[in-house]
Amino acid sequence: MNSGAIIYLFTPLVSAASQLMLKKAADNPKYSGVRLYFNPLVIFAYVLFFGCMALNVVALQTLDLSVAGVLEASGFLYVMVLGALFLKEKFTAKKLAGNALIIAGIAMTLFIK
Amino acid sequence: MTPENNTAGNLPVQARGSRVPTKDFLLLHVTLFLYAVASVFAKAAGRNLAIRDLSPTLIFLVLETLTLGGYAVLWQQTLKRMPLTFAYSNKAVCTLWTCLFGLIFFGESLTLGKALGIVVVLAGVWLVVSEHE
Repeated sequence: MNSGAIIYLFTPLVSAASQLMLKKAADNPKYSGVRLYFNPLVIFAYVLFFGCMALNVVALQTLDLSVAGVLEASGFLYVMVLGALFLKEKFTAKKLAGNALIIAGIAMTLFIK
Repeated sequence: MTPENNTAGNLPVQARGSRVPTKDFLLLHVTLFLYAVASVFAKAAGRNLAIRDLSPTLIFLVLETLTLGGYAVLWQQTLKRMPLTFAYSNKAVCTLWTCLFGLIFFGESLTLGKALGIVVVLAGVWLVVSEHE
């Protein structure tokens, strides 16, 4: 597998984690006013986000953009798993079926010539 | 996915998808289009990085960052006007645009696997987001 593809399956996980941090920070009553934007959690989340952006450029040195677009959809899978772990969101039949299709589509893109 | 969509769509029920005015719907799609454009700059930066041509790499990185910044501002505006779930359910077009841009601007080939993969992933995204409607 193209090493860029591995990066592009990993960065949506980090992006999803950073999104979760922003959500946690937004829900934290401790952070108000300017502290809503300048608190360790939010700053770390944006560091991760820009780190991902840079890693994606490294991946796109060799990876087709049209493949990257498909791999990015793995974010939905990570959001489901992280949402279940940290926000107590439920796995539903539709979510599971949809994510199974996303995994299948990614596999087809990567492995069918 | 970007980290700025943290303002959960706590909008009243009358702001449901079917009632989103045309101009807000257009704003949403301009916003999503910008996100796909940013990926074109990322790919252009990557291509130049691959041949260690650093000035164009930097220029495309700046363009990407500016585009993502514009996207982030517009996305917050979009979320003020509609529920997050509705905005999100339209995000599948980003996958479509990104793939299309790869084919158009970078001469990538549409293989059988890619074509199948795009269709199946889009169906999957549609199922995941339709959950919330």
